[in-house]
This record gives sequence, C-alpha cells and structure tokens, in this order.
Amino acid sequence: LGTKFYLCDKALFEMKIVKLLLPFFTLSLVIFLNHSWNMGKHIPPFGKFLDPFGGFWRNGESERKDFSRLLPGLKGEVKVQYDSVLIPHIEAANDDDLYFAQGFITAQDRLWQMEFQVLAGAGRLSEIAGKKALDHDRAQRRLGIVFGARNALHGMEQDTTCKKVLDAYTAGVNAYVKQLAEKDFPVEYKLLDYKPEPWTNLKTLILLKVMAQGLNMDDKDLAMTKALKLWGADMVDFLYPDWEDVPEPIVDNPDGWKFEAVNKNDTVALALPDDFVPLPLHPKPPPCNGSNNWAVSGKKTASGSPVLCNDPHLNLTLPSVWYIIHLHAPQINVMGSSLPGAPGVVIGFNDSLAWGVTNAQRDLCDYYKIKFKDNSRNEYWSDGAWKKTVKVLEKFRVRRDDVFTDTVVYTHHGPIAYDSNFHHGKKENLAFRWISHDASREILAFYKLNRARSLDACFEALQFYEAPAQNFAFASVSGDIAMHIQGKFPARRKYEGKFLLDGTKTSQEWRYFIPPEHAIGCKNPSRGFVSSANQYPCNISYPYYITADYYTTYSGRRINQRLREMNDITPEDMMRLQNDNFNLKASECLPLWLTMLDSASFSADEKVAYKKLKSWDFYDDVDSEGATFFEEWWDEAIPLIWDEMEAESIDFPTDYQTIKWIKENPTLIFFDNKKTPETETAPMILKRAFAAAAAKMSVIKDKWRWADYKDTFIGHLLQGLPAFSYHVQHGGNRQIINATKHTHGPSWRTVVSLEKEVRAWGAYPGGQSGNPGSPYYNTFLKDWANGKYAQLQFYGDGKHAVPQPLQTITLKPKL
Amino acid sequence: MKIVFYSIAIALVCFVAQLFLPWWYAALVCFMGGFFIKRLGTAFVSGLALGWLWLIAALCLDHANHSLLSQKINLLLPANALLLTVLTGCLVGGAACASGAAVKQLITQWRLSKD
Repeated sequence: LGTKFYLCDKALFEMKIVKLLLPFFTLSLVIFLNHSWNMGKHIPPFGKFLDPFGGFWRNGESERKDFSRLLPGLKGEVKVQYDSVLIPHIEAANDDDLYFAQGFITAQDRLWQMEFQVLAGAGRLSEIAGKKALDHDRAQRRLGIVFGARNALHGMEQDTTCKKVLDAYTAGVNAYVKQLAEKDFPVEYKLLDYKPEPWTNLKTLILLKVMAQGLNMDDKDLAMTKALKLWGADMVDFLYPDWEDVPEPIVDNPDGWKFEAVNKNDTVALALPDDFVPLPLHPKPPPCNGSNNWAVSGKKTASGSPVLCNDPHLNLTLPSVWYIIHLHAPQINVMGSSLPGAPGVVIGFNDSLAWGVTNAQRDLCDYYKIKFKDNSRNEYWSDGAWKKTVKVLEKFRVRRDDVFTDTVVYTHHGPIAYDSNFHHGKKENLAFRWISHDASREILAFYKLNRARSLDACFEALQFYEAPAQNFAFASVSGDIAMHIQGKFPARRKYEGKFLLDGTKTSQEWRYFIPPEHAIGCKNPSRGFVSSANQYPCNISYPYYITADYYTTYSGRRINQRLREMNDITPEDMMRLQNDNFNLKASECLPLWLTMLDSASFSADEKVAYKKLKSWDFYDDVDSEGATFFEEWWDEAIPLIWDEMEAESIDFPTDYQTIKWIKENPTLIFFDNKKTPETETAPMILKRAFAAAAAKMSVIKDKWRWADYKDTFIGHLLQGLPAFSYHVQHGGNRQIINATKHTHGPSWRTVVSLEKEVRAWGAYPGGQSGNPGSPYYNTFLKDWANGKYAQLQFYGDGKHAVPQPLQTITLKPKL
Repeated sequence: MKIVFYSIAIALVCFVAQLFLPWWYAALVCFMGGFFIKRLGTAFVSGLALGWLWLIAALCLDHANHSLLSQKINLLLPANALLLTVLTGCLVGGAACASGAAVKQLITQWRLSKD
C-alpha cells in the first residue's frame, strides 16, 4: 500500500486538495451569503434575502384572504374589515380591545416604519446603519428626545385612562410582533438584516416626540444672538420683527382682549445677551411648514351644513406619515388619520363633529448659556450657588463597530445640546429647554376628542393638550364652527426666547404660563368661516409677547380671500381650494419687479424670460413655465440680497419683508452685495439676478415645465431609496395653499361635510400598506397628485358593515 | 437518469426542509445528498436542483404578486433578482452537494489507506 501512495501522480494529489478545500469553500460561501456586509455600501445577506422561502420574494403581496386569529390579551371578539382602499374599520366591544386591535392592525401594515421612526428619534439608527448614522444619533440624544418621552410617559401613566389606552395599544403591537415569523418580516428588515424589537409605551411616546421635533423645535435663538452682536438691537428689530403687520391673523379680535397678562407685573428685566455665538449653526431648510385648516359655516355651503378641511404639511415620505383608520366601540365611532405607533385618531371626525390641526409655530424652545465650575462639569452656577448636574452615559451600539459612549450633561433646564464634546471643539455649553421635555397628556386629549359629541366637549378635551401647540379648527353637525389655539405657552417678557438666555439666573426662565382662559380662539365668527395656515395667531393687541421661528404670510390670506368670495360651497369646491396653486407672493412682487428691468438692453435669453414672466398668470400649475422662471429669479436674487446673512449662517429675513423693502426702501444697506466694489440698490440686484436666472434657464430647457423643475419626490424613509420611491407631477409651491415642494407638502388632505350623515373624503401621497410589495403601497398617490379624493367609508352607530370588504379579520381571545 | 432522480429527491427534501427551517438547511440537505451520491460530477449537477427549486418557488410567488415587488428589487440589486436567485441557489446547491461527495470520497480513501 505504501508503494501505491508513492506512485500516485500529481493530478491525483491535486484532486485530493480540491476535495479537501471544497467543503471549506462551501461553508464560507454559506456564511458569506447569510450575512450583510458593508463594502462602501450596504450589501444584504444575499442567500437569506434571495431565498424564495424566507427572503424578499415572500413579501410580494398576493390575494388577501379572510382569516381569524386567537390572541392572548383580548377580552372579546374584534372584527376588522378592510375596505377597497385598505382602510381598516375596527369593531370592538370595549376600549381595551379597540386599542389592542388598532395596535395589531397598524403593526400589520406599518411595523417597520413604526420602529424605524422610533430608532431615528431615539438616536439609535447607528445600530442598523453603522457609523455613518452616529452623528445623527448623538445629536438626537443631546436634544433629550427620550428624556422628554420618559417625562411624558410618567405623566400619562399617572392617569388611568392614558395608561389603559397605551397598554392596550402596546399589547396589540406586541401580539402582532410575537406571531410574526422571520420569513414574514417586512422587506426592509430583510434588506438591512435586523429584527423587530418588542414595542413599549415609551416607544409610542418617542414617536410623539419625533412629531413634536418636526413641529415645535425650529428656532433661531442662536442665529438672532449672532445677528444682535453683528448689527445691534435696532437692526435686528427691523430685519426680524416679531410681528410683520400682515393682515388676516388666525383670530382677529377687533374688540380687543378683556384681560391682563399674568406676567404683567413681572419686573425682572431681561438682559439681551452680548455674546458672540461662533457656533456652527445647523443648516436649516427654508421655512416650509404651511399646513392649512378651515371650517365653513352652513350659511356659506350648498348643503347648509358646515364643512371642515385640513391639510397638514410635512415631509412627504413612504411609508406615509398617516394611517387612516375607523375605530368603533361603545361610546366611540371615530375615523381619520392616525400616527402609526400611537393610539387614537389625530385628525378626524365622528358622527357629531370634525376637527383638523395646523402648527401653532410659536417659539417653544430656548437655549441657556451655562457656566460650569470646572471642566468636570459636575456643578454649574445658578442664582449664586453651585448646582449639581446629572450625567447620562449614552451608549451607541454601532453596527460592525465598537460601542461608542458619550456623556450628556443635564442641568435643570435640560440637556447640554451644544458643547465641546460634540460641536467641533467650541467651548460654549448651551442647555436646551424644550416644551416637549415636560410631562404631558396628549393621549388623553385625543381620547376625549375622539369621543366628543359637542364643541364644549372638544374644548374640555383640549385642556389636556399641551404640546406640540396646534391651531385646532372644529365644525359640528349641529352647525357650529370654531378655532382654538391650544398648547402650553410660556408667558414671555419682550425678547424672551428670541435670543440665547443667561443660564445662571432662574429669573431668566419660563416663570408663567398663559392660562387656558387667555387662549386665542373664536366660535361662529360673523364672516362665516375660521381658518389657519401657520400665520401670526392674533392681532397685535394680544397682551402677551409672541415670537416664533417664522410665521407664514401668504397662504392664509389667499384662503381667506377665496372663502370670503365663495358661497354655496360644495365639498368639491373645497377640494379645489386645497389644490389651489395661486402664487400670491409672485402676484404681489412680480409686476413691480418687471418694471425695474431695462428691456432695451436684454440679451436673447432675457427676452425669452421676460416674455414668459410677463404672460404668466401667477398659478404654479404643473405645465406653468412662468412659475419656473419666477422661482429661478427668486432663488438667484435672495442670496445676492442677503449675502451678509448667508456668510454667517443666519436665517434670511422673511420673503414678505424682502418684498416690502424692495418696494419701499430700495437703497437699504443690505441690498449692497459685499462681494462687489459698487454699492447696489434693490433694482440693480434684481437685474443681476434676472440675467443669471435667464442664462441658467437657457441651459435647462427640458426643465421649464414647473412640475419637471420642482420634481416632487415621495421618498422612502431609507434615505429615499429609489426602488421604493416615486417622482410625481404636481403643482404648487411653498407659500401657496397647495404647498407641495420638492419633498414636503400636504401629507393628508381631508374634507368633511357635517351633514346629518357625515360624509368625508381624503387623499395622501402613498397608501395604507407600508409594504413596497403590496398593491396598496401607493393607492392614493396618483389621485393625490391629480387633486382627486377617495370617499371615506364612514358609517354611523346603527350600521356595522363595510360594503364589499376587501378582507375581514377576526381577532378572538385566546383563553 | 440517475441525475434526474437525485435532482428530484434533493429538490423535494430541500422543499420540505425550507418550509420550516432557515435557508442554509438546504445547503445541509444538498451536502448529505452528495455524501450519498459519492461521485463528484454527478453530485454537483444534482445539487443544482436547489437553484431549480428556487426558480419555481420564486416564479410562483412573483406571479401571484404580478411582479410588483420584484420590479422594485431589480433596481436594488446589481442584476435581475430572479437570475441572481437561481444562480445563488445553483451555486450553493451544487457546491454543497459536491462537497458532500468530496468528503465521502476522502473518508473512503482515508479508510482504504488505513487498511
């Protein structure tokens, strides 16, 4: 045998090596295909992902079949009927089962989105996205999102109703997660290769804080502090007035306000900061919020019943921010838009009334400059004594990397959001105070609002609503309409909240809150309608100081102008108004601007541009070319005018003021562009911008149509992953009623006619299913873009059926 | 003929295994099949059955979904999703099956050399 071995030739030997290596190769192959990798970009676990038995193929939705499921935690049977557009109608015998079922069904359609938004809010994205998300995560944790969520949860769990609702919803989500096999995970989990976690009440609260962050965290305190140092208090007052003297506030109260401010006798002077804040300010997008709501009384409608309309403007993403749902149980029969991850209906109607919200805009966050005893930051100076800080060690389990730890220091104001550890080595320590850090009970407010049968019941419900402050519009079947601005507002002294505050004196803090009886609101005004569009809330005589990041100045006036003109209003008229593309801003400035040009010396391109603008009807419609030329001109002019602000990362003065000064004060010093030797006036700048715009337009001839130029994009939450996202052709622009921008706009449009049998319509740029493999992923997208609506299949208390349900799911208690 | 029999057998066992177990159990099934088949070439070709199984399963799901999802996934992947699915199945199945045969041969040779 030894000789046999000796005689074996080279080929045989090599064969043996191959045989030995083959199993190792196979093993490595399987391991490679079972893991996700980061090779510059994310590589999914190919084997797991492509396997048709457990991978993405299984996420392709096929025919929906009725089923029933036994679930522990339920008390009685719950019937869920999906209608033809996949809106669930939930019938339960009690509150617990109702919210349990809402949690279960929402998770069934939107689980990945719910959890992803919470991870993003809580600063945990790096756990799935790796190191590139670490900066985002650190910033989130320094803003105290989870800190605020814990405080809010603590407040809510004191209340038995809140606790019951939150617990039931969480149990429902978890009942879904628990029965979910890995092969049925939403496709995004498979792509990114991670697993859903159990849901908690805290996660619901984090989700609400994420919404609050988008609504009441915008602020320009640091920019204004910088501006104050650069240009002085008078110039800041001139450039950034708190009140812009624009007609049509939300509530005009010509009879004045019959009360005095609670802080009227507050004598503590507020010192203006003399700090120069050389912090790198976060780049901010131009102001783009511009939600609308209005309610029209029966006097102005064709049916004689009030109509309520609402379109909240948010980032347009997929899966959509809203999930439409109908909740039906004893004492409750409500339908409308819910936030995936939170129980109840946020914007909706029942058989007695309807309500809608826009953001109140008011400044509800401040920065305090903190003086620490030493570099250990264990103690800080406050009212002549050293107070102890609380240090929170934040851990980041960064994917494919070491655990990163970061200390966030908390003062009694809130967390230190800016410090030398994070914002690029600057020495300032700025504590962040945010209204949404406080305990609150908005879940209870919506619980009561969903069940309200009269406007009085609505106002009672709103007493439990603290943040984010909203303009609530109401209309009822009994014929009432109302507007109420609700939130927890600090009663501020002049300038408080506009600039960086001194953190060493408690006298600089929020000392009073505006009492509920001083809130701004009105009921059944003689003009026959109420409306809001994020504009200034009231007339100047209101006894409290009001400041904000910004207030809108155009869409609200356009809404009121149209509503005043309209009579015999039908729901279809209201839908058209929600899709109104009239550019009031352009109509107020363009005619004058065109006269400032010198048509004799036009180049060929300028002649074209002039012609397009001259013949434009001021509508930002899909096919409009004038809208594109105007936008391009505007975008060229503004940075040339406000070059001083751009150089310092300071917010630009508002468009309204800019237009006013071009007209009334064309030699204002700021019109001079610092980069050029000559001293410019407004017409010179506009001419230069016009030439630049005309030249640019001549090279983008394929983008002259407004919809092509604007390119409305509904991006998937994973950074707009192209495979799961859509470009749509849609008109509108910021400051227009149809405030659809590139990636931001009406996230839900709804019209409710409060006839005896309430009728309602709605559309949003997406679909009820969050699954890109479902035909219901983009159900409403096309209709939304075309200004069309789906009628919502609401039914009153007597009836219990959806005509031709797409699918019926029965949830039964497992004993 | 034998190859056809082996292929069908492997595909069937893989199908049943994959209904309940993670995807890599299919590789284990192929490996054991190869162990039984013994011949390297035959084993490799028979192992490709995993690819065919994946092809049929993916086609069924895709048909029921009207290719709604696969069209989107195609944009995500470097190549057509169905093609990649079949190639991955073939590669894993073939390699695992051939590995089984190779290990069986090595064991046989080792036993022989000990005798």
